[in-house]
Amino acid sequence: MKQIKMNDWKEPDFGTRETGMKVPDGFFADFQQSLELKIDELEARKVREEAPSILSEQQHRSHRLPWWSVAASVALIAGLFVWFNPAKTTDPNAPESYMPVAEAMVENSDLSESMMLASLSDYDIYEALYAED
Amino acid sequence: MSKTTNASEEAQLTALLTDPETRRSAFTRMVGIYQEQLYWQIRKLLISHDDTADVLQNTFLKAWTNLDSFRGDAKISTWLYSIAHNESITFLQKRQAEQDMTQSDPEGYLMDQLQADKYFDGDETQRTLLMAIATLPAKQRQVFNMRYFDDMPYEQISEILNTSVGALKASYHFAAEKIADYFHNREL
Repeated sequence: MKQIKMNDWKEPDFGTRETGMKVPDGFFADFQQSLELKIDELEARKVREEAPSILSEQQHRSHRLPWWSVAASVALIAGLFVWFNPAKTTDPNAPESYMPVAEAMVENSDLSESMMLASLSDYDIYEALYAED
Repeated sequence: MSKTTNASEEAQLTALLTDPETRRSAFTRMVGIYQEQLYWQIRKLLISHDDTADVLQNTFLKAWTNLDSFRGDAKISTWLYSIAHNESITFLQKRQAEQDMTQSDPEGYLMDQLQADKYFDGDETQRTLLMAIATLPAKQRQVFNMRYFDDMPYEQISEILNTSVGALKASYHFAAEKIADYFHNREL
C-alpha cells in the first residue's frame, strides 16, 4: 500500500472552494412549512393507528364479566335445577326417567280421581253435582 | 434567527427537545438553525436540488421520529449530520440499484445530474471539480466535501462518520490525489 507522509503533504487547492450550486428563492421558508405539515400528518396517523387498539381494549374490558359473577351464576342455575328437578327421587334404584306422581296416578285410580277433583274449583264441583240432579 | 449555536444554546435546545411539552417548538427552532447546513452537506453529495430536498425532508422526519432516542450525548449538529449522511447513502444506493437495472454505466448518475441540474451556475473549474468529486466512492466523497468545502475538523467528521481520525486523513489524501489526477487528465 502506498505510504502517506502527512507532514509533507499540503492542503489541496483546486482553484475554488465554491461549488457553483444555487438554491431556489424562498426554498428554506417553504421547506420549513411543508415539513411542519408532514410532521402534523405523521402525528395524526400515529394517533389514528393507536386509537383503535385503545378502543378495542376498552370494549374488550367492558364485555368481560368478573369471574365471581360467572361462578355465582353457574351455582345459582345448578341449585335451581337440583331444587326443581321433576325426576328427583329418594329411591336409589329408580330409573332415570322415574316420575313418581304419574306412576301413582296409574296404579291408584282412586288417588288419580281425588287429584283430578283437587284440581277442580268448588264452583265446578257444585255445578257437576247439580247437573246430575 | 441565528444559524449557529454556542454551548449554552445547544444545551438549552437539547433540554427543550427532550421535554415532551416543548419538543415540538424546539424541533421547529432546530430545523431553522440546521436546515441550511444540512441542505448543503446533502447537496454536495447528491448534486441534484430535487433529490436533496427529498433527502433533507427524510432526514428531519427521521430525526423527529427518533427524538426519544436522542439524549444529548452527542451534539445536535453531529446527530443530524449522521442521519443526513445515512439517508444520503441509502438514497444513492437505491438510485444505483435502479441504474444497474437500466444502464451499463451506473456511476454516470451523478454526472448526469450535474449536467441536467438547473440550479447550477458555476464556472468551468467548479463544474470540473464537481465532476471529479462525483467519481469518488460515496464515503470518500463525503469526507472530501466536509473537509475541503466546509473546513470541518477531523474530530467532528470522525463522530459523524464513525471513523477514526487517521483513516479520515488517509481518505482525504487519496480523494485529493484522485481529483488532481482527474484535472491532470482533462488538461492532456
